[in-house]
Amino acid sequence: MSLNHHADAASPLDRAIEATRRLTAVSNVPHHVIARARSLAESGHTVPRPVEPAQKSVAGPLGSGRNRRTLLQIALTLALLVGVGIAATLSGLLQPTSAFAAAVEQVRKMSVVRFVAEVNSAGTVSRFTQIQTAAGVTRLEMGGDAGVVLVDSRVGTMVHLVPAERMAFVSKTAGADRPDQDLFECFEAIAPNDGQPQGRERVDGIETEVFKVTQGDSTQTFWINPVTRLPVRMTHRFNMPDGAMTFTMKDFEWDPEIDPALLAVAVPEGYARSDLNPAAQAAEKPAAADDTAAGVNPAGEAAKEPAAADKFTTAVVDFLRLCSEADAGRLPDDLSQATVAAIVNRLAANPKFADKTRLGAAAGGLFGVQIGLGMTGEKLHYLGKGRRANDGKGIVAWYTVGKTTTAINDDFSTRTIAPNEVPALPKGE
Amino acid sequence: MDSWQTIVETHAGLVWQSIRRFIDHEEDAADCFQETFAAAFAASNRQPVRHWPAFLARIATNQALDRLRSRARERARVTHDHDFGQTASRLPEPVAVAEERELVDRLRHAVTTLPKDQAEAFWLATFESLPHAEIGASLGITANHVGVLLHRARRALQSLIAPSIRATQES
Repeated sequence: MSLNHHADAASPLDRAIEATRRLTAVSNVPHHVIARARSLAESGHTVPRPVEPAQKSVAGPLGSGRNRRTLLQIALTLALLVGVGIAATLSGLLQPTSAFAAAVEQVRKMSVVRFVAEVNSAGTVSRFTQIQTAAGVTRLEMGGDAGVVLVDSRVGTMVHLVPAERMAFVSKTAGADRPDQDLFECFEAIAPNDGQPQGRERVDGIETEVFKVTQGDSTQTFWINPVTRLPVRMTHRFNMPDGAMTFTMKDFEWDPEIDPALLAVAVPEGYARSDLNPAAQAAEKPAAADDTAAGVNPAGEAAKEPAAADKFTTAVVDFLRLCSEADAGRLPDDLSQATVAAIVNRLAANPKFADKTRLGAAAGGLFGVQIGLGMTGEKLHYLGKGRRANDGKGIVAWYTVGKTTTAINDDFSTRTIAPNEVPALPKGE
Repeated sequence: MDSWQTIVETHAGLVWQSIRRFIDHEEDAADCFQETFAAAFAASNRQPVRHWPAFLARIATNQALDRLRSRARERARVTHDHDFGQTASRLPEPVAVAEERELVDRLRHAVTTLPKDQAEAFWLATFESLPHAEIGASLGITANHVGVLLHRARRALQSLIAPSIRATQES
């Protein structure tokens, strides 16, 4: 960001500034003006003085001349303050009447924020650092092997960098959706009067004002610094039937200097690129349901609609069903990103495989599931190696969110399973 | 520990200059001056003041901006009740004077349309020559954030002032 103000030295703005400096220069303060301000000093007031409520000052004996004078001074001062409407001025100057409304206004003026995010799901806490721009670029640094995810919602592109493998997995996000935890979107969606005051609380050494916003089954809590008018901490708690999940954002840095390279949604040098969406998909027409003319095996009964419990399950089922349809009923050996990328590339290069749009969406969905589970410290477990759809062997994959474990069967039906039904972990996990 | 009288006498010139940059009308400016010191008087009871010039400059700027906004809303004195009497003798040509007055008014009006923090940061940095760190301390933000606000303020002011000047020249 350029802050060079000299580049436009002859601009109308600079001429206006210069004219203002010249034409508004004054020398002396008129005597009658300064005399009124001096009257404040007639009491011998010194600054700073100990904080002492006015009522306390007049609580002593009032009989002496000194105390009557003090009372008069206080009354005059209060009258002056009221007379010039200073209460309203200070309210705006030092502490907005509604810290929440001010925070909404203030955040909407910011261009970038960096913060630490924590996801607490059934006691499992995962932590990552997020950089978010108001323009819609998100960087999630998940640490460890999970790597870095970059999302540009303006063009619908997501890049997952895995440093350990020097791999960059590129995919299209659904439309131009922003990540669910996009802070700026959150503040765009909130009305300034939505926040319900909850009192004050000290957070990270700052005396904050606390507000809650409840929408459906979720509750957002905001700890607002009344001086900066910016959040110090935020939580978003989702109350689900199987327990609550809380998303906490803290350690905010507002409008920090960010190296633009960190926000480049691109494949860095030295990384192998793997496209999870075939490049040709945009030009493809959606394939017909009966796609046998293209040489795709529909896998017969296996194609029946699953009772998907949620979008995670739907995404996994879509990908597995597509793989089985494209490969004579066979399921992938594993669901690692490298394997998924290989499948996508192979099918994308197959001229007989016409369903490339669906392929891109399915791979992208699976990719999202893996990232989402990774953020909560979970993963998608898979038992499909060497197996086929409808082989009658039961569970193919499962994952746990909160206290609920969802299983996907070989016929792509889904169900919630009890702890004693969870299969043994696949070899190597 | 300073006496209040010392504070007033030491900084009266600074406060008066800050206000007069915004407000031509002397009675308005005088009221603003009183409000500034009254606000400072009250605020100093609530919090220790580390740097009086910056503290007072900010309050004066705030007071003057509020008054200017109010006047702009009333569409009154600011544009029609100029009082450049104190500087008139230094002005070279009537046409040039009129043009410069026009520039001053446009800048003042444009500043009132900025978000409050941008307007404050811009005015304090440009006319009070306060360093970013000092402005940041006064506004409760980082010096880096002050830089961002200034960048945004200048960008907005450029776009607000340039078209109006072109329109004036064309007419």
